[in-house]
Amino acid sequence: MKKINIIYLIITIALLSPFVSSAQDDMTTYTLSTVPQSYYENPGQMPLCKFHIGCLPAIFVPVLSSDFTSISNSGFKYDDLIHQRKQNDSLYFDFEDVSDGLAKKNYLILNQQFEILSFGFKIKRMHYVSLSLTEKFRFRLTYPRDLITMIWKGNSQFIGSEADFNGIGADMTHYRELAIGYTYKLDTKWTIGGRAKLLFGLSNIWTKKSDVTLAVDEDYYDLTANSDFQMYTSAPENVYNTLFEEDSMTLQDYKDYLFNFHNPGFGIDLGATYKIDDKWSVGASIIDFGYIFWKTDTRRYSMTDKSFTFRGIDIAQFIRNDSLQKDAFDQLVDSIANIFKLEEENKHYASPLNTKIYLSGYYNISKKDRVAAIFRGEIYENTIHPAFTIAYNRVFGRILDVSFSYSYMNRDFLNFGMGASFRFGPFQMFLSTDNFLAAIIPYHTKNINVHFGCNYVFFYKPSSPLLR
Amino acid sequence: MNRFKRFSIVKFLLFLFISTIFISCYKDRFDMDLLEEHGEWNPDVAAPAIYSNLTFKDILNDYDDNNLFVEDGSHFLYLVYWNKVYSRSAAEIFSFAPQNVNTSFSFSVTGTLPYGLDVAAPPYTTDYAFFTPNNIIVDEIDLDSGRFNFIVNSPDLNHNATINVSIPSATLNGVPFSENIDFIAGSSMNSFFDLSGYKILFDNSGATKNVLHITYTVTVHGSGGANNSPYQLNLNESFTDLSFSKILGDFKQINFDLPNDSIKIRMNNNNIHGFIDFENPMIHVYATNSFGMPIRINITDFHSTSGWNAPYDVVVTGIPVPWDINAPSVAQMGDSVTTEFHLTKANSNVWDAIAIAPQWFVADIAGISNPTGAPASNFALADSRFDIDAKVELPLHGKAWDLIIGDTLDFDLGEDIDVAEYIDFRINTTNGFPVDATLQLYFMDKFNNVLDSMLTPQQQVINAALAGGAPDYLVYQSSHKLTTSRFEKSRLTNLKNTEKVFVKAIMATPQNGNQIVKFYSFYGLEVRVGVRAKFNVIY
Repeated sequence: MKKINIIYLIITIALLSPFVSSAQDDMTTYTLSTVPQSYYENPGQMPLCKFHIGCLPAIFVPVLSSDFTSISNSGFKYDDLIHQRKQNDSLYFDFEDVSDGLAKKNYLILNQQFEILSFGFKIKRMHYVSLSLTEKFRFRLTYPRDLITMIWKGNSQFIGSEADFNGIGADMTHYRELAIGYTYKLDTKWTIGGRAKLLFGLSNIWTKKSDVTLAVDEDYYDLTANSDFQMYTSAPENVYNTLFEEDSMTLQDYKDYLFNFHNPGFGIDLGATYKIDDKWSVGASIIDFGYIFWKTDTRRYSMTDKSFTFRGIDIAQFIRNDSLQKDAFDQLVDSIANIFKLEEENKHYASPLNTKIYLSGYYNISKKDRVAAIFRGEIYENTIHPAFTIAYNRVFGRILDVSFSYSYMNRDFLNFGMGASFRFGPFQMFLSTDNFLAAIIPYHTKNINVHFGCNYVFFYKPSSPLLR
Repeated sequence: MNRFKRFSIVKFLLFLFISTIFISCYKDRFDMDLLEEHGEWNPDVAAPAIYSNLTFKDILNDYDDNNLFVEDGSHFLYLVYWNKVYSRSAAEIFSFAPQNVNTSFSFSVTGTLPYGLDVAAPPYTTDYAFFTPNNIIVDEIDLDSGRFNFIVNSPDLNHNATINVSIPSATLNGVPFSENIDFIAGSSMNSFFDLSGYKILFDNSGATKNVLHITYTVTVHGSGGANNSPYQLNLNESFTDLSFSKILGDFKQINFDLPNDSIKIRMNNNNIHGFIDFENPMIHVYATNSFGMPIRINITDFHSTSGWNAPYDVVVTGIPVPWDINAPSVAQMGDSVTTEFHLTKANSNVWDAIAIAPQWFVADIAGISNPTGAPASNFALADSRFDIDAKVELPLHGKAWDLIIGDTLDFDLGEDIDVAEYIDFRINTTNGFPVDATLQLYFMDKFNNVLDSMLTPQQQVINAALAGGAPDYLVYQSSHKLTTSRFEKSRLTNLKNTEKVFVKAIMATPQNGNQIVKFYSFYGLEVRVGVRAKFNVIY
């Protein structure tokens, strides 16, 4: 029953995914300047069209709806974990390669977004006003290297030191975003813009603090576990029950979940571009700076500065009773459980969005060819997680806009991307990925993302598509 | 431009072709049917196994409440073994059996016996001599409980009658015993009287002792029938359930014999061999008597015995022979009087008896009351007792050498022990006792065959703490020792059949047992064993 409920939830998420339209976490779409949504990464970019409306096909023709799905695992690739024997093609697990290649912290990330509606229009060539409604789902599992290596290789490697599990935990946010954007061309050089976002949180898991270590004493092999842990959740009781108990959600429960407006939030995007000359331009932006205030069905699980040292079994009991009592082990387990017992309380909280910083530079080779270099820094756990992209972009008349990119992201250098937008009259369709090698050698990639979308664009100005 | 377009199309098709080949290749990489069912896992794990702070009690494995560690104000330890060597209660010594009196007599009444006329026959007195335990002479007995039972019948009494039973020397609150039994002609009458609380005085003036005079007076109730005197009356009386609260009398000479009682010295339970030189061992013997009678004890044999150390038996000297036990006077009735003697190095060979590290002290005891045999005035209360307690007191002050202590414990390493490539044991001891120790663990199968041993070669794992000189011999610095031992896979495989482990420790005070030490309650031995093992698990 529990499995079925989880399957329902997965299906729910999967059903949402076909509607994903304009998530801008992929880098290649950013370089498709003919796609209006590319300006989401920098609201200081002026869209080329005078008017656009997105996702009508998604509403009327679901089969053509747009989608953005991103899965990445910064720790290891499929073929790091599962090897193939040359002799007989059989597959086998090899955690050695996995553990050797891990960073101190590693992330399994799933992003899914869909844009329910978007449109924008230009006023007097100087102003562009836009509005969008987007459903966003983000999941991140943080797994420390020391945890994996300890499971695989044992804890002897930490004798005299400690295994660092800091950061271990999960983060998940499902929210809805209503954004109003405004872009203003100050002069021939500067364009600035911003997007104000009203957010509606639906469910959340936020590991605010996770300082966990396990030390192994050099002389006695004593095991000392330290934990300072705080995790917040906001999920309707029936969702919680569906996941962890024998219960199921009704249709009304799904409606209540999807139309919950009691967890408000706000966010802001700010950006600017500067046109140095006809060849060169640069841009900078900060995206998704904001918080969601969770008020419904909130829980806080905490374990503050707990420490326990296991020094071994007390042999005195052995001597007294001639045999180790089961009670002794039970008492040990009970005492550990009591020390590391999670304290649970209902508490409202505010979780931050994953703020990103973009820096970009463009060089127009010709009126149809352009190269770009983009830096993205995603901020979480008080750390900037960088990604770099260089891209070549070319437009073919009024119909086709093509980009080829190379990216370093999620500790992986093997990301060759490409994207294209097709325009048939006002109807525009685009498809991009940051790593098309995932389709060829999926076992040898850390990043898979696909971005597909449709727009109606009007009054497109083809004469200088790459010059904004 | 056309050439460029053609070239681009060719490249695009080539790209698609190569991609198709790649895709067909990688399908196998995701076919989980090809995943091998088994693999290897080789974790290298380290963990603490044992952490204990052992006190002297733990090491000597001594927890019986009767055997106590006693410490003085300076926390100096005495090991004290108590044992109740002999114990008798008043109820055990003076148990009164049921007394069957069974009086039968004939009586006559004169004249006719018309209806309504009561005619008394002359009284009849029976003198019953009580059987007493050990044939003691009882002057007075205060009954805590007792019943006086009757089964009255008459073969020829054709009138109803009343039988009065009186015992002038049995009184309750000063009132002599006098009770009636109503007899119905032609029937057998059962009747009893409760004697609880009665004080009975026995007549010991004649040659027959413990005599009780019981007088019966029969009153015949005329029924109009013929007077067929003389009549025969059978009383079938008896005294049962007799227990007393006090007895006064001459208890004469009662024997107290107890062969081969023993004091178990648990400290040496697991001792195999060795020598302990206690500086001042002592044996204390206490007799506690609350009977009002003197007792003379002869301890015919008192020796220590060791199963391992020659000369194996040492007869303890210095015991008073005979040993006269005092008794409370009448004025002390209800109290107990203690008589004691103490054996020390000065007045006995107790040092020799302790030196063999005995497991037992064994005693044969014989005794007698009123040893002079002269007439005596004794008393006993219901809660009177006579006890002999012995206490072996070993002040933990001295030296020991070649002291081998061993014990066998159940131990199971499990069938899967050989999944380990190796196991490293890291034994840390921090010793606060002024004792060196060599420790060995022998792994044995169910037939006690030794399969392997923990430390190869055997080595000293506990170093003596450093102690100061007389008179306190206090430890001023603990000693630490690290001992390591590795079991490779071949040795581990050999241990699969382990069902027992024999722990053997060879201990000595410093300088090979030549240094005198003292033990205090705050001494301790910290034992910490860490285990590191590398496994080879096939999953």
